[in-house]
Order: sequence, then C-alpha cells, then structure tokens
Amino acid sequence: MNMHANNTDSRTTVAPIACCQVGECRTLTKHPHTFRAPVDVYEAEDRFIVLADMPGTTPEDIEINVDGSTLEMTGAVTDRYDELGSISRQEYGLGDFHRHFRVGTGIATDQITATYSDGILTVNLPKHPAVEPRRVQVTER
Amino acid sequence: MNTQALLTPNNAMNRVRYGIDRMFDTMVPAFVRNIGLTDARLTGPSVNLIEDDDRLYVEAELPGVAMEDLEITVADNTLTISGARSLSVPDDATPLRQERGELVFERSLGLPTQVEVDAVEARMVDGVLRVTLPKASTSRTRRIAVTQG
Repeated sequence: MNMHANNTDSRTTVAPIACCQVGECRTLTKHPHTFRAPVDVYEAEDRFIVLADMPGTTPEDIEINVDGSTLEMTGAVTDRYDELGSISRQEYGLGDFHRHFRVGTGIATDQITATYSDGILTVNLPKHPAVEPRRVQVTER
Repeated sequence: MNTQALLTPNNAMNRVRYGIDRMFDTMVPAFVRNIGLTDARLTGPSVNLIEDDDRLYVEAELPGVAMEDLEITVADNTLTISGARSLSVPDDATPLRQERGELVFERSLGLPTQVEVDAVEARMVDGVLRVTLPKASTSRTRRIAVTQG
C-alpha cells in the first residue's frame, strides 16, 4: 500500500519536461552491499526536495555528489556495536545507505544544499529560474 | 546509462493513484487498530539486542520520531516501545514520490535477563533509539576465580 508501485509504471523517459527533473537511476550494481534508503520527493515552485531516512549516520559521513546528470547520496554507518558488546539478537543489519537519482537540466546543480537531522537527510534542489518565452519579430525587407 | 523517469506529477492517473494510496494509508492502520489486528506498521520496528557483562542495549532505527512521541515501558521483564511518526511536508510542495510513510508502531521484546527497572535509560541519536538496561545484580555475569587446590 505504498508508493513503491510507482516503480513499475512510467516506463518512458521524457527528459526535457520539468516533471521528470528528479528520476531514479536503476543501475545499482556499483553499490551492491548498501541499503536503499526510503525517499520522499516533493516539488515546490522554486525547488525539488528529497527526504531520505538514513538513521545512524552523521553529516560528516554523508556524501552527496553531482556528476553530470546523476545525484548520488551515500550515508556511511560505522559499526557502533563493536564497542558495546556482543549481539544476542539481530533483526536489522548495519550498513551504509545509498540512493542515486537522475536530475534534469532544469535543476541548478551548483546550488544544491543538504541538511541532516534526526536521521533524515534533506536535499534541496533549486530549479533554474524560468526562461521567459520570447517572440522573435519578423521584419520586412 | 539505464535511467528511468519515475516521476510524472502532471499525469492524471498518477494523481488518482496517489490519492487512493494516501486514503488507504490513513484508513487501514486506523481500521486495523480498531478491530484489534496488527499489521507490519504496527508491529515494527525491528530491534537489535546487544549485551555486555553489566547491561543490555536495545536499539531501533526510528528516523524522524520525536522523543516526546515515544513511550518506553519495562514491566514483567518485557520492554515495550511504542510511538508514532508524522510526516512534515515542506510548505507548498507537491509529493512526487513517497516511500517513507507515517508510522504508528508498538513493539514488545522479552528481555533475556532481569534488569534494574529504575535505572533504564533511553537516548535518541540521529534517528537511532538506544535503550540501556542495567542487568539486575543477580543476572550479572560473575567471573569466578579458580584457585588451585
């Protein structure tokens, strides 16, 4: 009953349209041993907002890279049980979080900012200011 | 690169689907609670139990859950963690993808040893809850020195 169902529809890429500015990359082979952080994506008038659940990491251990049209988010998680004692019951594993998204040309990638609090990573992706349509005057010779 | 656009907010079908999903997401947990059943959202969260000579540590990943929305009780050697997380939607923003969801949860865990109920502590750091439960003196591991006879 979640929006996971979205993963199966919208099979086509319509890159230039503003609504497709933040689409997920499906190639995960580079990071086979990381956890897929659940993500919400919102669109506001001037920006896109990505919220990712990455509990147990720190701002210093989060790496956000924009390479061309790919936004990559990794939250490294250190083994905090090492110094605590022995694990007598383990229902979830510890590991790094990772997600990567394709971002369109409508996003000002040099102005992306991010904050981390309460285990949630918030990435702000500002849109380029809208380009006003311009009519070209045709003159008589 | 094998990329795929998944977000089409202007697509009418997606809006309808989103509306229906949201309706079920809010109705089903309430319904399930009312008739006394449980579902995954209500039985979670997953916990890890770590133990040293003097203490038990119970840990759960609860990103975005405020300490005041969390209730932790220890009774009859059972630890219960219950609470809720509400989503804070950015102002004037339209959701395009929602994987995180609101949570209402309750989880009980039988503890392997007796604990000092009055000395139990809980801390939330970066979305990870850690409950520290000192073992009762009778349950502590005691090293017995072996003397040569």
